[in-house]
Amino acid sequence: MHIPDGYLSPQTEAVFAAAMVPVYAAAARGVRKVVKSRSVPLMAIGAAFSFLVMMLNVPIPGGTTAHAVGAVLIAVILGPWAAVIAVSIALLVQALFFGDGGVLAFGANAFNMAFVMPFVGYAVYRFVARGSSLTSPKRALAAGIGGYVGINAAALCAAIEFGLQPVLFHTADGTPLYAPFHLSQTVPAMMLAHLTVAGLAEFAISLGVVAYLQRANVPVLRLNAPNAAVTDAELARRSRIPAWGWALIGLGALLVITPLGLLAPGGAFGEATPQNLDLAKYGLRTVPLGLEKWSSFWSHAVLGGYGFHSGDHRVVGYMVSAVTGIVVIAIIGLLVALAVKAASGIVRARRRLADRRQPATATRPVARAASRAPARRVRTGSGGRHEPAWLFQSELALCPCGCIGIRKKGSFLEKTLTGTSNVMRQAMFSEDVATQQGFLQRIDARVKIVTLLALLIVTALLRSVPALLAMYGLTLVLAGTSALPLGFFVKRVWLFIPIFTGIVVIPAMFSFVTPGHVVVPLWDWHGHTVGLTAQGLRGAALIVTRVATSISLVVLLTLTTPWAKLLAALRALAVPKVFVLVIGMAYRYVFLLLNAVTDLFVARKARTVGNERDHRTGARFVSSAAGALFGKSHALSEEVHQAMTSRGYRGDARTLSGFHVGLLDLAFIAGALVVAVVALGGDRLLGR
Amino acid sequence: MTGSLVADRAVPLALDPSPATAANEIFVCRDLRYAYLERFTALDGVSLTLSHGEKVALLGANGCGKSTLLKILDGLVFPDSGEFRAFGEPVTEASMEDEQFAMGFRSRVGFIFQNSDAQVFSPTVRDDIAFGALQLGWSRGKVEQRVDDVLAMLEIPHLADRAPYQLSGGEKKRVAIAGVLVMNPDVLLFDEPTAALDPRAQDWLTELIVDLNRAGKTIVLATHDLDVLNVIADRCLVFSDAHRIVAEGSPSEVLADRDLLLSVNLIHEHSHMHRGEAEGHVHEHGPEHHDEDRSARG
Repeated sequence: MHIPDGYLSPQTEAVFAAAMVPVYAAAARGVRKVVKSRSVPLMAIGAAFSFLVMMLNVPIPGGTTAHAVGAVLIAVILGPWAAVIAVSIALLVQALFFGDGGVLAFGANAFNMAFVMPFVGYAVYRFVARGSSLTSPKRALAAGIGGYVGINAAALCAAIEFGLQPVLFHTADGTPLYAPFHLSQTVPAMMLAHLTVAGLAEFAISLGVVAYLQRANVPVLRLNAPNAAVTDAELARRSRIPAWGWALIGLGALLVITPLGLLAPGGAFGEATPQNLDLAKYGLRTVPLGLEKWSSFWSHAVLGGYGFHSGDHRVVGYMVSAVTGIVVIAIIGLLVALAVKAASGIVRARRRLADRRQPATATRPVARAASRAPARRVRTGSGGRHEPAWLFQSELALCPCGCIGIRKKGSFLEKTLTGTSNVMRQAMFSEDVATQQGFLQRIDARVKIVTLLALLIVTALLRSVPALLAMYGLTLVLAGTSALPLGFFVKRVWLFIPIFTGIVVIPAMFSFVTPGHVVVPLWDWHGHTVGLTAQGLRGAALIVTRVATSISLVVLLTLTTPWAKLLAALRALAVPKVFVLVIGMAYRYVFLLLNAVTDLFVARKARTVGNERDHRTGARFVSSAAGALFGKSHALSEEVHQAMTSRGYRGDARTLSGFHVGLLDLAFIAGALVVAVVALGGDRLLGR
Repeated sequence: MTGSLVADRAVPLALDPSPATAANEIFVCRDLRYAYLERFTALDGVSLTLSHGEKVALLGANGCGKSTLLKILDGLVFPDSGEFRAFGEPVTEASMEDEQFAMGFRSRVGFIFQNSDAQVFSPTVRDDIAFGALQLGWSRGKVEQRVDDVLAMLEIPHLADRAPYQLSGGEKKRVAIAGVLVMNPDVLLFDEPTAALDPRAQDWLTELIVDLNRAGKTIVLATHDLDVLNVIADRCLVFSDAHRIVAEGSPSEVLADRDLLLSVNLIHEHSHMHRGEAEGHVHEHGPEHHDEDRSARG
């Protein structure tokens, strides 16, 4: 769900970046209230944890694997505001240092995965878990459901962002400039993938980690719920104001103030019919295509227009509509709650069943190594230690010669291990390239960030394929002069996002997605010629070259700048010091946690004989690993805080930074300016 | 009180008892009690006095409260009851809120954590070493000079621009120590300094601790390393599993008392001491070595 650069228009990206500013302001305040001066290490390690969770492949039914985002999980443990910051920083580290997700698209990605996802998921979690104790199975299930709903909400946002692109941004002849698919195509495609595959991974990891923490590390769960009862028994002892009581009071208050809506001038944008819209006010010259098309689609509303069609009883009509709406939603909610209750009953029953089965499994030879069942026969060792007799007998393994059987490729263990080692390799390689003598290596990091960002925006604004190709050529020249092997550079950029994009946009070349002048007719359908359209082909070429050029620019920046310099440059560019401190620490601890994950997975691999057949044990292992990792991370953040305090940290860190802008830097800025002007000017000429 | 030293004496006379004066006392703890989460006792009535220039070892089995005591001595946690005075002033949560007092305390007391990964938290080695010095509000030029000095002293200038994840365990320990030494504290607290280091790194660190002490630093260390106790400590405080100090004495006295070490679960009944070998570890330095130490301090 990481949107790369080139899929969204710069206008869309600017809107989301602007939308995140107040979110971060609120998050900074929200976090400070909860965790005080501990916030820096806690956020940093939360971000590192979030980064790691995105690397854990979770086995899901059907033999495939998927990774989770973990935003809801972090919201459950540290609170939703902390999740906003932790996930944002994980996304930033991915975008800046590992080229995963766009730099210009950061705002949109953060909005989807670091804002919508934790808040929606957390609301669902609170609703489902209300009135349950910290260790009740209902809470774990609530986290799972929250994760499932959260990631689907984020996916829906991404689908809408994609789907609006061809409607809002196209050339006069209908060539889509960015993502070419319409809402009617993006929403089903994204939702299908997330309702089935990615949603299940999120469900499994959120439920699994909370369940693990309930067994192994309750204090961590208390961080965000300091007053909650730990056990069901404790809960029963407390007398509480029922949560639904407050909910009813809130609903009642809302109901009373609903007529206030009538006082507001105009309607909600996009809710009214196109005729009532004053589009000039929003700077739009045409009615968005989708709005026009769909606004007449649903004309069967029971209480159409909320006012009984006539304007006579506006207030009464509005209230009746509100009550009806609440009743309908309440019924749906009740049904969901009943379903959840039934499901948690099943979980509890199964757990009881599993407990009863425990002794039986302990005698199975493979399970024995991991089982904690006491050995019956013991012998007395040299130190008076009771040593189980089986420890000194050679046991019949599968085969002593090592022909244990062919392990199926692509298990979740292998995938995760490959992923973690790739990150390590990539980071090491970047550091090597960054210290070589090349053109871009000699440019001041601040200058490099600003100019490459400007070129990224220019790339996003270009509207002709030749102009984009020229820009791409420029990145190749820069790579060549900066000691980057060209073959490697091209491979690094094109694998895997531009190639993936190329495959995904194939349907958009056809007339049924992008209508227009058919240049390659294929067949006739009810008198219409179906085939490849000029607009479709141009649109596909535009997005692929744009994506490749954008990624090239980001890769140039990250490969030629040691990341410590990159951080220092961010600091010099007025990014708040505390954010830079957190980003730096997050990056530093990603590697520590990466090693911990590798150890856990290697240990698991060493004890896995043959193939992991049951996806459920696999999923349980991954979530236990993530849970253990979280406990470790939290303890580490406490220790780091003490280490910082011990060296005089009092909530306002001072850091070393020194920059100097030379002649070469000024020349580079001038060159970039010329490129920007020429590219945009030439593009407009070509576009005519 | 066995081995209190006068500040300016270059060569410590480890077992030469001299009367402690109030001016010499830097840390005074009276009846400290501390429990984690108000439930798990870590210290149960611990009293001790540390004098300037001492090398003191805290001995005891895992979980006996050594690390907690070090954290109290560094003003990171505060006792539930009892009193801790440093340099004549009480150290409490309230007194540490005072910026001037807190900065003074932080600049005079340094703590080398057992887990270097927690201590080396900055993006690069140079940034990490500079961290504490910058918090003291020194000018950038002074900080950079100090960082270069301490990198040279610990023989790690080549690591300056590395990221912490590229360092070995021994290198990380050196960086952690550099980050503390750069602030030039009077008192150095070490939590299991030689744990998880290879023998060469252990010897190097032992030597460094001795040198720092000769340069006038007060050393407090929690350790399980009985082999070099004679070298790295003048005085030992022995903790029992009941989180109290049950014995105090010179390393030779403590190591000779096998029943004591057995009773505090520090040694196994099958183990035996290589006392002679341990003493053979002691080695001497020429005067030029001291001069190096002194210049590194400045």
